[in-house]
Amino acid sequence: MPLMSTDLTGKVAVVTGAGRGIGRFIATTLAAAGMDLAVCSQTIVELDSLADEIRALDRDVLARPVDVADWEQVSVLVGDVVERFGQIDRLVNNAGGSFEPGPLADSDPTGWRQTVEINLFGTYNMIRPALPHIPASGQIINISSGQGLEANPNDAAYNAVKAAQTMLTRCLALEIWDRQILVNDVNPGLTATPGVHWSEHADVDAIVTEFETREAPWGASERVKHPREVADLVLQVARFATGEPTGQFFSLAQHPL
Amino acid sequence: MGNLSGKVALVTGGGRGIGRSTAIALAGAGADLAVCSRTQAELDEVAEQVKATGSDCFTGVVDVTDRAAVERFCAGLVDHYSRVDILVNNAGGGLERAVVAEADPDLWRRTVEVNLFGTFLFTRTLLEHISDGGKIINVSSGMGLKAGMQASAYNVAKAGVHIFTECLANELWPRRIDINNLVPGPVATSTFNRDDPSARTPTADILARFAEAPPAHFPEFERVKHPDEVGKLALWMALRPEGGPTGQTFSLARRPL
Repeated sequence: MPLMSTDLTGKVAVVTGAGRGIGRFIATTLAAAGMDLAVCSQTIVELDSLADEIRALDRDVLARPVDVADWEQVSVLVGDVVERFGQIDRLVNNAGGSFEPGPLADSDPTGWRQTVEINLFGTYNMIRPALPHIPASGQIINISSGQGLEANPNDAAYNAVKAAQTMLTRCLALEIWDRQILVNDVNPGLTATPGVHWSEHADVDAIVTEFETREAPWGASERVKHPREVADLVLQVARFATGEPTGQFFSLAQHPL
Repeated sequence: MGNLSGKVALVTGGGRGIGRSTAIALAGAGADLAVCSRTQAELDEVAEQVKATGSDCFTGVVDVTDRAAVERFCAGLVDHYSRVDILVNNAGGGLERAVVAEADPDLWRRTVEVNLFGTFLFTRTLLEHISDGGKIINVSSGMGLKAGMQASAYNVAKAGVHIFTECLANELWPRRIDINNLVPGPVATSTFNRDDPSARTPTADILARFAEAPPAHFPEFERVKHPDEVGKLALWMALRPEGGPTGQTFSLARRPL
């Protein structure tokens, strides 16, 4: 039986928001599994070192600084990817973030809109031009959030947009199943990434270590995970074959959502 | 896929279908097995296959709605192995297939008892013997997340299993026991095929029957799977490291739920 056993060698993955954090580990994990990579993020410095890492794994890489919220930039990126690699076997929409945490009553509309732009339009902007170039047996994997399934105070933009993104996943699954393309969500749960507001550390390993002896910020049942664990789940999902799950939500959370 | 040697796993309803595939998959990864079902001849076959992998197999004829029988079986199991590391609450089925207006109250009640109360009863009886850091996998159904017609007892019972899993996750995390739902989607089992118990259809024949399209109450993009595919997902869930996801749902469905 084929579950989670597809050979990814020589196939092409696109990972957005790949400069650091979860996206970076997804990119290197897929490269280690034999995939060629197209990676983008907003910061060129991080991309340079990532590209070196991928090349060190003997895989081909195309790295571009791109704001996924910008339709024009994304269109150029997808054109370049197709020119270089011919097709996109796995599109991982990872770029995202919460840019307007805090009470809605005090929120800045600019930050609120930016959160929607990156998480939702960023995902759409990538999918729309990529779709003609995703072959049968291809996949789209959207990095979602448990916050899209459960309400919380003080982060409404992120909650709302992640809910929208998950609905996008499900709608798209229904539209392109007949092209044999799978569309699924991966939910990282609580994961150490640079810049999280609940740790003073910038380094992933330091954050993980810090919370080995401290209660995690989202409840005692949650463990602060290393981004590598999320990348491992993305790899498992990427190994699904035609006819396997689509429109589903694969989650590493440690509390019911 | 990994190693379960030294672990003890119980699969309820393990005589055929998804339960049997799960038992054999877990045994194949090195776990010693306990299996119960209502049919001795099927248990004998499964025990033979489990033992062929080099694993031990403890079996018992049990109706999961019979509290005394469940307690007697669990006592024997604990006597034999002294603990359980992986509990797979798989026993279930849809017994009442009429619309509510015409449903037989006895069959309706029995459907809830087999699917929901049986899951509770095994969990309740074994909980003190489940190792800290162990796993509970409840075989649920997409029908527990979305209403259909002519299966209200099954819909309701599986919805109950879903929320039971979440309740238990909230209670068990201090013992580092991960408990998750497994949604198989349509699978070529005797239950799925609505066989008369006196004449069960071989898996290959059911797969052949639905090779072109699933039954009419499923969307055309669902695929009727071999039970071994579900066994592989159960194995993957059992192999998650301690501190893995809990209170989550892992699904092989191909329709958004």
